[in-house]
Amino acid sequence: MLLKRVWMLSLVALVFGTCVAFGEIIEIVFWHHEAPAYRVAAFQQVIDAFEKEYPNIRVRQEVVPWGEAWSRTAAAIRAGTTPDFQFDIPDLNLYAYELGGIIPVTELVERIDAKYGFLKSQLLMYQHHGEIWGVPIWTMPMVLIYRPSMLEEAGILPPRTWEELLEAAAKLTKPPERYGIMLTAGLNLLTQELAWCFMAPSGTELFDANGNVTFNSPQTIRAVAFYKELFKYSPPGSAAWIWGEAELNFGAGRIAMMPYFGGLQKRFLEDLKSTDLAAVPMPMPSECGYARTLTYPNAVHVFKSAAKDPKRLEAVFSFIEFMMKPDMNTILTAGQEPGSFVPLTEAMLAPDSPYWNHPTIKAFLDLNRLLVREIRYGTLYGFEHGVVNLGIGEIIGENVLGEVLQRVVVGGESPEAAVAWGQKRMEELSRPVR
Amino acid sequence: MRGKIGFVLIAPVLVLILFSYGYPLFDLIRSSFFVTRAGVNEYVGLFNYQKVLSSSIFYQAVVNSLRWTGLSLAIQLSVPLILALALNQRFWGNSLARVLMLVPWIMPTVVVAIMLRWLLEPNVGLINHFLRSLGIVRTPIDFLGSTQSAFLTLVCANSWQFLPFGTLLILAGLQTIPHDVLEAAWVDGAGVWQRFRYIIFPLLGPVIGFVFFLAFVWNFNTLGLIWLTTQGGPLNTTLTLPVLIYRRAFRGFAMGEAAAMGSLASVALMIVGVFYFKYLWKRPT
Repeated sequence: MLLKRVWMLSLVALVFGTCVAFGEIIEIVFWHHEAPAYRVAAFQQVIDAFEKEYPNIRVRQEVVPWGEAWSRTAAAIRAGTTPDFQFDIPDLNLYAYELGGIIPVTELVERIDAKYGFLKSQLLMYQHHGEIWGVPIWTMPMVLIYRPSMLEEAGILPPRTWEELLEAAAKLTKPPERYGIMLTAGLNLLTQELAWCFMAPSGTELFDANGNVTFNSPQTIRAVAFYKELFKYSPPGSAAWIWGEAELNFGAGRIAMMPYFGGLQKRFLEDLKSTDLAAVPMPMPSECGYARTLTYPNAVHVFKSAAKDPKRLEAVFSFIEFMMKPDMNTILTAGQEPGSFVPLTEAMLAPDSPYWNHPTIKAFLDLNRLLVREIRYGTLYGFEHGVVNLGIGEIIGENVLGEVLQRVVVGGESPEAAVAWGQKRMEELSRPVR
Repeated sequence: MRGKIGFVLIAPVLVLILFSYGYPLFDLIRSSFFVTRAGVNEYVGLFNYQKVLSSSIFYQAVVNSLRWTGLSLAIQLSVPLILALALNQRFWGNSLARVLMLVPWIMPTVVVAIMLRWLLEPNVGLINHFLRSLGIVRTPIDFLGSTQSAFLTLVCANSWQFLPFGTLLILAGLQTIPHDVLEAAWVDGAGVWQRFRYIIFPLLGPVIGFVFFLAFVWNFNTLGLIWLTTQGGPLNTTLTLPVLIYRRAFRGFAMGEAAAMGSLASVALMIVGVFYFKYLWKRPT
């Protein structure tokens, strides 16, 4: 009996191998970094739908936690063991480019753009040397989220300017039960993003259009000084917080407002059974301020290994294009993290798009409409003029923005001194694209 | 003939060491002479070494590493010795205590780091809750966010993880001390301290020496706990050399520079190791 089973399995393996060898079934593999089970399930839903439409292509997803993405990418490129494509953020995309591991995807982006219409601001972060190196799949805008009940109780309107924000934070702070705002000052991505939520409206530019470092400016100093002032109303210990602590404390009602992604709506609806969550655009200085915020597009880059076989490459391109179909993109955005992963094509943002039929999106319709509007005002630090300086990958990786804020908030340095240090550090890492 | 047979028997292990340590070390040193940009490896000679040796942050990381190692050794040699002496006694629950003592060692570093962040969180963490309930502190302590406390907090957490290993090695060493020698000393009127000072401690010397060296190398190379909690902050107070190397390699795109630092650290540790085992460590007799 055992022998018979072994013989049957061997035969199946032989047939499958033959089919693969003769190109009848192509298996493509991709890495993504969304470890929670429900996100993996969302990807699998898209994969299953794709495999139904393309029965000769098999797709396999592999999860690489964000913390390991850079080291695994470097190791895979050096060892020649890369998957076919990988999800990334702009600095990981640059990292893979610097290692010589990826191919331009300009043609594919143009194909998708013709069908679904990319928001051009979200392509800037992936364009350099005359090509596009990543296909944006979704983006992540930050707004000022708040608990309406707390503001109503205090008789405060949602703030629109920095002055109103400071006043609101002060009024809402009742230690130790509640704090008006949540800000951090650690060497992590959250702090960098929060920094940009104030620097962008102030008018900061890390680089000019020629890639020269222009970080040390009155606009930056103003933003850092304001951050320091506002930090007084943030909970003790928040300097060292990352995502989990911020979300837990906000959900527990200890924080009234915080610059953040809109993704807490899922937790509010499913776990807290509450709709006490709203948002306004990031406040700006009342004088010489800009209606700007942070957006963080997530894209896909294609490794050189996939390009060795034209059939394989076409399979990869087919899957990437499939992900941008409105019903599929809805699964990857609203199905994974409603409010955090926001679509970035005109087709997805149109009123008749399936995105707006998702239950969580519907439950927080005003919040989600705001998030979509804010994408158009969104920028990412160092990419204000596109990719003009390849050093931005190192600047982000080394948490220079986070360290500037840490020097001021934790170290007690003056904003001028901290920003001057940031300028010097950025100049050391600067590599303008010529 | 016996020597040849011995060499043949350890040859497979030597080959394994050559491939798993020798080749990576060779590649590390080789990488330190290159800069990689857009996939192109450019030979730059000693440029990476010059950059590293003229960087103030490198020296800050080295000093932090030596402080980290020194403080950790002080804890990781004294506490395991005390624990091993205690566990070497007969008492009710001795077996259970030995098993429970292993818990820190078997917990993955990621779990320890996440637990630490939550336990020490100033607002909702258990540690601050207990300290305030007992009236020991009035305002919460920001263990991981303060430049005064972050370093010591992580040293203690790291040492807590190492304790079982050191304790087990020393306990094994204690088990080899002949009972009749200790009994004879007791019969002759030697007290607890005298038995420890003149019999137990000298006989434990080689074991403690071995634990010292292992602890020295492992602590010097600690990365996971620091990276997962403070990432070298706040304000580089917990920035040790391994953290700086990791940051430059995998966040800063500077593989060559990181390889230069790694090479310097590897060579330094090897020199320390050779010197230690040749001149300082006493082989057990």
